[in-house]
Amino acid sequence: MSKDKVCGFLAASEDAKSWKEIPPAGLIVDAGNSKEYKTGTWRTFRPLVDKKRCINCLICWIMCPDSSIYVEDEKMQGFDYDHCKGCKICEQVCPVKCIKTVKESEAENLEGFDDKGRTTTVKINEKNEN
Amino acid sequence: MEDIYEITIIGRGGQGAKTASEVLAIAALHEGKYIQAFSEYGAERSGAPIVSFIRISKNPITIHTSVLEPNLTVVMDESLLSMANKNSDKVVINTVRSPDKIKHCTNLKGKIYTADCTGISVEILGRNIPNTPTLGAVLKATNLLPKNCVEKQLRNKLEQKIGKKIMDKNIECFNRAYEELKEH
Amino acid sequence: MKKMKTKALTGADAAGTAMKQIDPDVVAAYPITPQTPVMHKFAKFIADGEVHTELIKVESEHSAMSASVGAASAGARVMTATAANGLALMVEIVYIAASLRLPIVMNVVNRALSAPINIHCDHSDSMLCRDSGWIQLYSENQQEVYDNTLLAVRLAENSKVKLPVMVCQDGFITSHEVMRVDLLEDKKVKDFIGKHKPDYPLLDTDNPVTYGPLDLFDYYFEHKRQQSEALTHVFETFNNLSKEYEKISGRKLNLIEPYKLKDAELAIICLNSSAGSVKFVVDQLREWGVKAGLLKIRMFRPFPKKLVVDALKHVKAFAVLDRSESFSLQGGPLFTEIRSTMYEIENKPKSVNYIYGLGGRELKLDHIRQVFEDLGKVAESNKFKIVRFLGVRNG
Repeated sequence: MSKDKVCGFLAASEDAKSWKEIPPAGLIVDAGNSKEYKTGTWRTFRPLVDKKRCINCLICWIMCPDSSIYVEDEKMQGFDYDHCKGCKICEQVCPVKCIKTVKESEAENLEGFDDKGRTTTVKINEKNEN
Repeated sequence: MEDIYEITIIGRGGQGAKTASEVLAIAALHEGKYIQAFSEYGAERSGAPIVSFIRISKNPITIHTSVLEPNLTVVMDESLLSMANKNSDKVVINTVRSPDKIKHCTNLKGKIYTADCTGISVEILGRNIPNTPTLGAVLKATNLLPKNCVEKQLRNKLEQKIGKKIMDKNIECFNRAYEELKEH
Repeated sequence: MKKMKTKALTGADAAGTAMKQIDPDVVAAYPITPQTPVMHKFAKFIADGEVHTELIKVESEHSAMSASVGAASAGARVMTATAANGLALMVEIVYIAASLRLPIVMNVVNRALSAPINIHCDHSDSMLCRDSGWIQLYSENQQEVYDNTLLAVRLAENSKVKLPVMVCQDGFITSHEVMRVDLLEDKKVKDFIGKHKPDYPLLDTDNPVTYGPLDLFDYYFEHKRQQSEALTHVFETFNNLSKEYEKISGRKLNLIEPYKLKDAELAIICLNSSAGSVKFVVDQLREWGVKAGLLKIRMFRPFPKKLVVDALKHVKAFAVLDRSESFSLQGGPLFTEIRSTMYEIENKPKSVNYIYGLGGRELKLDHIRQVFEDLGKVAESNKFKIVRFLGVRNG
């Protein structure tokens, strides 16, 4: 199946497959292929996390509607930006307010964050703490 | 059309005209014939006039229209006598009247046979289900099929549904009409 | 030695008996005249323990086809039956069954659509579904109902086809008429039918699939194109199956059946039981020296265009009998199909259309003779009425 055009809302791109190459009747035969559809491009606000203050309660992981919170060894490991749509639910539910969302355009200029939006040097959401 | 023997049975809903036509056809099938049996369906109501048709032939039957010029007309209810085809070679009528009287008061051209099938049915079964006696009368009048073959098919068709006791009474009706048939 | 069992059966019994011998996994149906006796017959086989089918007694035809689609997606061999308004009610799901490429086999007992309400035969119900993507087989008599139903299962499940099949028979005329039917032994049918091998069964949890996802302007068209392609494989598949079926039954089933057509000058084309009556009249006219012939169409969808052209191109004039009105004022569905098919050839035969038999109005032998008589005049004329009504008062 073509990676990102299978269920796209736009007209088929040049790499869309012909009727001879696809399963019949619109069946999806490779289970879990929704992963191939990168919804991250829809995002206006990008979540960031202060891992120094995070208590790994994993409430963000439970509540995220797009399963876009990485967890390893029962520890919150940042965000899956390929699929996170920027809904801000994680920010709302975080009990220690260590998650913050910023505009995508601003996020590009931020320093001190890794590719999964984690920081241990920048203190975020200080205002809310007060 | 010459090699197809056509029968029309005229009766009323509930008298068993459809069943009689099917039994006759199935018996003919067992004698190695090609057959067809069907009825005119309206909204089926007990007592409404109903017409059943049978075709019997040595060769496959392709035609699917109602019978217009039957070789044999069977009238299971005397009140429907006027529906009988006047050109039929033979007409078998369920009536207490004699064939001569019928001949006298109708314009039927064919040979007329009568039997009091209703009387027989009421006497033996206690109600008016004239189809089995009428079948007996038809066989006597036409020699169309061996009597025991039709008797066997009657049992096949009905015994499971009505039970052996009533089946035996029906066969008695069948035989009585066969014996009592009057000929013009 | 071909072992046969000869029985006196109605068309409904023939369909029910074929269903019994096929022993489908699931049957979901709702009763409607004149389909009811099909299910009576089949339900009795279930009650007697002669089949293993799961019979789902649903609350409507819409549900009947929905349950059929669900069961077929799960990987079951599924059959159902309906008629008239029932078919009209299930049409939404009828399209879905074909589009999901589910090999469901459905006996349709042709009956007029309302209103006014009428329980008798015409073809407006199955013609309503002619563009649904189903394969449609029409049956002249009880024997053909039986044969078509058996063959339909193999045709539907063929790996190149994978499409649902409607087996049509005339309501009451065929469905309630007792005629001689030669049945195959249960085992022979079982061997012929074989095991159902669904490609993407939902119950195969090791290979999970999604049925019916959203499919918008980037791929929907591709999937319709696939459906169209699948239908192109139907003719060859049918012919191969027919050869196989002939070996066990001695009966040859053709996509179309030309009857005394080779040297015919005048021809009638029709579907279902009327073909039998036309054969009878053709035989009579031949004795009188009229070069009459018949073309019976068994498969209406997909339409066997090449065969029809070859069978008809030499006649002087032909009449198409349509037992349904399309209200295009251009003739019934069978006529427009055949007329369009004949457009490509040079020296086209003259053609006329008769709408007949609506709501069970009987097609009498005199009507058929009348058509041939009219055709004789049409063949000699350049100006004639194309769409006509047969058997209606005042024409």
